[in-house]
Amino acid sequence: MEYADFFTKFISWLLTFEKNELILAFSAIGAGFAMIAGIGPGVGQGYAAGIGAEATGNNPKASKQSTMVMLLGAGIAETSGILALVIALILLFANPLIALQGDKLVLASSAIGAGIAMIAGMGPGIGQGYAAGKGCLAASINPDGSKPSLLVMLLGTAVAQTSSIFSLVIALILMYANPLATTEGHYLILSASAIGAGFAMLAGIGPGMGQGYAAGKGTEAVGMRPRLQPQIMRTMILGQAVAQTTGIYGLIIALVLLYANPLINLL
Amino acid sequence: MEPITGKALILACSAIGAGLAMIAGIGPGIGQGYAAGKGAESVGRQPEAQGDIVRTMLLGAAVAETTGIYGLIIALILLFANPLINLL
Repeated sequence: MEYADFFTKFISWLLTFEKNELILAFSAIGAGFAMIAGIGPGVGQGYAAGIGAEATGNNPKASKQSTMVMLLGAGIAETSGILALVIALILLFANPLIALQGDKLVLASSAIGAGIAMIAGMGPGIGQGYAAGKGCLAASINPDGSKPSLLVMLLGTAVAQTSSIFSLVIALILMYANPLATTEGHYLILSASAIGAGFAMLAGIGPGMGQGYAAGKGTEAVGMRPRLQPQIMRTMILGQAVAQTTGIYGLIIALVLLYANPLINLL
Repeated sequence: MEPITGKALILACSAIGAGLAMIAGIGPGIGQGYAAGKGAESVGRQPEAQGDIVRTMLLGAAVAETTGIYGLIIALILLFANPLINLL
């Protein structure tokens, strides 16, 4: 064969395996990729814990309120790590790809794509943790009037969650309703598209972190001047919406790769 | 099994490349979020200057968006106007 180089040898070696063997092997890699998302909540919650300790030191009387807000915020920051864990557990224990019809390399690559997409959860984890720290600080400074700032923290962290939910949707599409498996085309292009769709979703790391930072600053500002809550919140939401754009670009590229792949027709 | 031709390899790598290009979106997201945070902070400090603050924030966010759009353009070129296959 003219192209009998390492790459083609590698691919044809992969193709010597049975369909289920290949899917399960790649699912193991995908599960590992998904868990990289855990970096985010770890960093974010660590920051919140540090601020919590600091706040308790500064105002021990309010430590109950500030610790409560810290734990609430850390719980929110945990979400994207749990979403990634769920995808990894599904890949390991209830792998839906085996039951799907289609080319084995495409389905196996979809497992890796789904795992890579979940890494985006790193962003919301870090961002929401930052917001949790700021909420904790606000509760420590003004324990009795921390409601307006808590509300801003919850709203801001909810917005910051968006990108990890986008990633979850792409991962679930790849695993349960894989459009590439039923697409006519060269198996190598379709497989690479599944992995590429996962990579595109990594853009969500940025919006997650940035929106979380905005949520933190909004919480801080409202904590200092609760009466200005509407104006502060308006500015925060507007800025967060702008920060979402690149995450949406990534989602669009992933959806194009999955549903309207222009590369197949070029061959 | 269909053989892997050079053209198929280029197109497959283009799909992965398009996805990798979109990772650029991390930066604008972080930066614009930082701007949004500082904007919210400043409005809290000086609410009467909200209009000016938001205008500056959006101007800066637009500049920060550029590299994300560069990544998007490269991804779209790789997908819809792939120049590499014409070089074969």
